[in-house]
Amino acid sequence: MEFSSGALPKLGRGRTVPLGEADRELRRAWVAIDEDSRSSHGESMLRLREVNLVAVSTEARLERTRAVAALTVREHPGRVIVIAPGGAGSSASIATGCLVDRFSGRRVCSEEVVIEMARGDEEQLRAAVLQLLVPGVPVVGWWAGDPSVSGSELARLAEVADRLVTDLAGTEDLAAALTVLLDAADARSDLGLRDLEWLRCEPWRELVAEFFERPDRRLLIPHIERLEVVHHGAPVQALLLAAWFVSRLGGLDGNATMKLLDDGATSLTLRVSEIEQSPSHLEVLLREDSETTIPAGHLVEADIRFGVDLGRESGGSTSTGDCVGRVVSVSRLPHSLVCRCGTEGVGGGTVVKATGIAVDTDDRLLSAVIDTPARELGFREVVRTALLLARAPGLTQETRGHSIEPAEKVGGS
Amino acid sequence: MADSLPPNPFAEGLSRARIPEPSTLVIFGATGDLTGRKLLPSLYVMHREGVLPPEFSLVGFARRTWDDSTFREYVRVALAKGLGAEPEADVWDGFARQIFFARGEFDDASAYAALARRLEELDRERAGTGNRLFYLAAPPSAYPNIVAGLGEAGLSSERRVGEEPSVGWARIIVEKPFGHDLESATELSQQIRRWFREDQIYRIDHYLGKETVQNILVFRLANGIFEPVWNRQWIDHVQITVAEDLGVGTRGAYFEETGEVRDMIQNHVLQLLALVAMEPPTSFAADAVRDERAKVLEALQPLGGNGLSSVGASGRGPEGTSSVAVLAQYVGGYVGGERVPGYREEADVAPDSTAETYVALRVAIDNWRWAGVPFYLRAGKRLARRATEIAIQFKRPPLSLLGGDPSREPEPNVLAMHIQPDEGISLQIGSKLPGPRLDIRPVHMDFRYGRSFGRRSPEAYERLLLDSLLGDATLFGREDAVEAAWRFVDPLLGAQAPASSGAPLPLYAAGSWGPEEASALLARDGRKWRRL
Repeated sequence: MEFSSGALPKLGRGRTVPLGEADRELRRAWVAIDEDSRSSHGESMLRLREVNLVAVSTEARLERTRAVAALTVREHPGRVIVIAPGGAGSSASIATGCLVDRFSGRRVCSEEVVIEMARGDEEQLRAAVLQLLVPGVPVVGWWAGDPSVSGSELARLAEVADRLVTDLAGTEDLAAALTVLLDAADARSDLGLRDLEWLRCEPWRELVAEFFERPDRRLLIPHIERLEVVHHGAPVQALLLAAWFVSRLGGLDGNATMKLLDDGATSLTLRVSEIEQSPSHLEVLLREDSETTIPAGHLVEADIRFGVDLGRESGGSTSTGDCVGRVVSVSRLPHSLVCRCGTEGVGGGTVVKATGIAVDTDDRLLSAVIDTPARELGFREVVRTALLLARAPGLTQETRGHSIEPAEKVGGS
Repeated sequence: MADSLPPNPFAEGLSRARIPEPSTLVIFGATGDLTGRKLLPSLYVMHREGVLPPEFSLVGFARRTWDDSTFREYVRVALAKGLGAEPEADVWDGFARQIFFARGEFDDASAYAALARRLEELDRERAGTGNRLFYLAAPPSAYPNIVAGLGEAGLSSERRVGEEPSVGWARIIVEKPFGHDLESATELSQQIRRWFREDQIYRIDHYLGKETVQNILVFRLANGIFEPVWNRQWIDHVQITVAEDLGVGTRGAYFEETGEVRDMIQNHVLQLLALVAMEPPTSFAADAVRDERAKVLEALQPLGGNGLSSVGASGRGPEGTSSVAVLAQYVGGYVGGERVPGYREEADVAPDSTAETYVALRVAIDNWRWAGVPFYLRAGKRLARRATEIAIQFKRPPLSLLGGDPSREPEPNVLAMHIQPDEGISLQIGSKLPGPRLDIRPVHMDFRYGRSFGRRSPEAYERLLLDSLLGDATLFGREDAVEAAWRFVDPLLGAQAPASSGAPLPLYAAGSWGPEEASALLARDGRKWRRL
């Protein structure tokens, strides 16, 4: 029952059983495995259960979804329940699998139940999932398709999950996808909402936050005038980063006004809700750089421009390394992200902080979702703000997602 | 100013894995035992798991006439030994590119100047930001020379990378033992502080890097049911055991100068005690936690006011003493079915050695929470099995409703934190035995790491190296706490120590749980050591 190498990993060869007997059949399978383990290795096999990972997939993405789930449960063993289209929903393919970690030799075992059912019957989906959930263990619901075309099935998934995970990178209609997410969040206040594309831009958010960690730099916040985000390809990450930035400053007051600049950038002028220590107005520029070597769909640079000189407003300290000029910039280099202050563009100014770029495969991101507490902080407001920005006239034409080839984002080693 | 400003609005909700900035780690003692067994494997695993930034550099500093490629080969062989397998080719290639070597003698000022030039060169070539972490994995006798060499070469202060006015931090990790006694520890501190600020100094006690040790505070403070009973009203006593089944092996010469008090009690055991006994910190900021740990050590009742008393075989000690110590030494016995020699028969050990290989202490903490609650500490070599455990024994119920038959009284509840091996936490409770009678037996509610989590627990050094690269000093010793620990154990060392009194050192057979005198130490209080 080892994971296969070369091909996409999976939790083992499935066996079809009536859905109502899936739970019992899995228990029998583990008893047999345990007996085998005792006779072969002289000891019982321990099975861990940390999570119910419920993945709703399209047919096209089914194998990839199963592979990502299989990799995720390496670190968070539990039960994977995959809902796929087609079929009557009355039977299930069950599989058990143990990964032997090639570094530690540790055996981590999980199980998979794949149910094929016709799309559209939300009650059937909910009932099937509820029947199979392992009691007392968190439920992570993963919508492994385009949220914008999920219909109300995503809402049913959200009802049974403690945490709901989507991936806005694959969406054809960002505004519609954000609307679906917001509806799910509004329906349940205790639902932990997460998105993989949102997590992919977390290192950028961390660097921005790092700049303002110094108390004296927070005096600069009311003087923020502009955020310019440069992206390559679809602007989903750019929009999410901008929405986060705005929401952290207090959120939008009214709608954003959009205009296209001569150089092709999209300028959004907006009013920020009046809270203490926030600017009243902000310009957000979204600009595409199609010449960059940074992969498509990713952020290239984010510049924060202030209306005052950084050094003077922050107390005028002249210690080595303090910031001057009016811009704080986060840039992506081939192997790192760098936050600088002082001048715009890569290579200028004083380095505030640099970090490596984490390998963010989908399984690692899902694993991060499972690791973090159920209650997410702030993402709902980001979604709300992103939707307002995405609805700015003319912007919706630019928010198409891009397709992700299976090999690009599946992890494992 | 900081108190009057609002919190950072951009920091809310961020909770991803911590990845350090590009930095350079220089290991002094690059070919030593600690480096080979612990540091290199830890760094390799950190690299493999993507925790180290791509611009990370590792520089080994040693006196050998090697170059970069020779040292890389040395590292590869050390990794194969440390990991128990050859490093994976694809992972190794990336790791090897980050490894460099600097030759020098610890007392040669020009070697540090050359090191400074090499580090600047690496920063330029590898887009570094001037961040430097210096690890003293060399013999402690070399620390003063190394620190002075770094300071005089300008390596202890902030850096500039070429002409770019970037600020690079400089930190120094100091391995235990931090000094030999209170006087030497204070002197060492002064020597290091001449060149490094306290916030640049990271004193390692690798026990603090263990997942199970970190879990002590989490267990206490993340669960609402335990803290209300974590005090003298409910707790009868606490036992802390650090038992090793190994002897001193090839470390005889080192142990002759050190003994178990310095090897284990002054650092690991007292750190465990501090974590169990400390007040909840005001926050999990490094100094908030370290403040509370230090307060416990400052509150320890000194070991005997008028000279140390030790309990003889009769189990009686002088009246009026509230802190008692037993120091002992192992003789030959059986461990793991094999006959093993006694301490005095080990290599490089004097045949009339008085170095202690076992220590048991009865400790009192003079504060509101713990007044009257004895803490029994024991640490020793060549004991029956390897086990590190903290056991909190609670008081019995105030009223017996079970017929008053003493033979049927339930055992007291015991909360045991198993630090190693078989890491986890267990709670002993009384449960009715199935059947018609009201018989009560102790049973265990068990949590074990290996049965509860799928992910690997990082090794202690992985966590500590990461924290030092991130600038998080929570899990490192601070000067005041280190000196308080030395002050506490000082009566057990030197001329006033029991071993120097001329009285024979109690002995115990290898493979046993220590000397009779240690059992008597608890027996006189009506208690006994837990059987592990």
